[in-house]
Amino acid sequence: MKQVRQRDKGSANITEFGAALWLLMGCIVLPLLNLAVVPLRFGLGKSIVANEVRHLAQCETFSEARKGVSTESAAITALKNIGGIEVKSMHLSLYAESERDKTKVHSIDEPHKMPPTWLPNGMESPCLYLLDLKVDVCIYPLISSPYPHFRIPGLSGPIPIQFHEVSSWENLGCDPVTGEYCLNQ
Amino acid sequence: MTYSDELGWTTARHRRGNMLLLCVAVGMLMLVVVALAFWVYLHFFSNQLLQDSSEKIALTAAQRLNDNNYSGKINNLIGGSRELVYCARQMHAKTVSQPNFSEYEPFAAQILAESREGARTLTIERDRYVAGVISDLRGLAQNSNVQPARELALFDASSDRPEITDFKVGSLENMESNVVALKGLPDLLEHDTTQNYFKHGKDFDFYRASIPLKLPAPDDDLDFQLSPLPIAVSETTAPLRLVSGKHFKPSLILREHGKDEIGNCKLVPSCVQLSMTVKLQSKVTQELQSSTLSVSTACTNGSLPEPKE
Repeated sequence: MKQVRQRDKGSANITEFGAALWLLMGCIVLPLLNLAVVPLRFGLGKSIVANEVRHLAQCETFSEARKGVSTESAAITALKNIGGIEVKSMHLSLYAESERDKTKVHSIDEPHKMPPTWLPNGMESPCLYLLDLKVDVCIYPLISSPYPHFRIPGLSGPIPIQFHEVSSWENLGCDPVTGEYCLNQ
Repeated sequence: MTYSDELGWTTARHRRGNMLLLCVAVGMLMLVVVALAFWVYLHFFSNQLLQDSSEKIALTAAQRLNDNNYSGKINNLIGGSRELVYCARQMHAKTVSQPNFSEYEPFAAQILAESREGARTLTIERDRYVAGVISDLRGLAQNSNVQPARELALFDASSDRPEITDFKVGSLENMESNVVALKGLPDLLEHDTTQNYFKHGKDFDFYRASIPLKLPAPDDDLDFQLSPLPIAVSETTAPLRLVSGKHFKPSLILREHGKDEIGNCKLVPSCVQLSMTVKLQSKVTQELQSSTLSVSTACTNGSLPEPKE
């Protein structure tokens, strides 16, 4: 009797094992792997963008920092090298935040646009000058669907994400040649 | 087919054995994934710590380059000494060429000799100051309080104590001196303009750095060179800051590939650049190791504005 019971269990294992394995792989392991790649790529991308804005904030002038932001920059190449990250657009701005009243903020996108009141010797000073970099990207999972209609963001299609990093502007000195503050050049 | 296969119990045992193997394999896979995740996290974490540490040391070193505005003061003294030698030479030439002043010639010659001697003494003092600063930076490179002070360990991965591999001093491209060209000596101003010793600014002209600012003969044997230093503009002193490494121009290497180098530089540097590295290794297998590098460049604080008379 004992031997017969064992044979029944064995038969059950044989018939169920393959299907269970496929179910486990197809419905749990692979989708989880597919999903797990997205936060990994997000973390790497965020780290690269944070590093880039830190380097840009060390430029001599704001115009030099703007020149560093292009689709051919080292940071974009590094982002592309991760794989599965498509860079859509980048935007760099510099904003001044008044230390006396934190709600007062002035932002510029181009050099020479910072009003005199927001400069280090202006009425609003002392201010905190922050360089702000926004990078719009699409992060793809490990395997994405070739059919647009079957694309579920994160599972079988890309997720649109914006990396947003800030770093304090380093050069608060004046250029003796132009007499202007470097952050406004 | 054996007797036991016919009965089925051995096959059932094999199935159970396969499941056990599968469970063990899945468990191992999960452990490997977790270990890798910790590895990546430690990589990021130690890189962040390394970056902070290298920036802190670079800023500390840069601060010592113009501590208490010594570098700025030496530059201004050299600029003043140069004018003094020029004035003394003009005065002496006048006593020689004009009979009315000939009786003052010995006095003018004495002033000229003293001003020339003063210029030489200043050069010696500058060299001594540079040697002191460089020695101070060497000490900082050897004994700096590198954070984290001990190894970091996380699960199966650990990172060694960070090391300074490269340490260089120099200046930034296009950085000139803090010495303002005075308009009081029109002849000297004209000479310096023809020699292209100035850089023209919006409100004032200032002397170029790192070039010999020779006086007309016979005083062209004297060494007047100014160190690069950010100049104060509109009473605004350039603060101590981190700079982009692409503008850094090294003048002396204090350490390269972890080995201390000998040597000295002639002028007071205004920037430092240091590279730090940290090794990460697995505790499970010695073969799995990597390293992370951080390069930081810092520029010293600019000269203080000259006191108004």
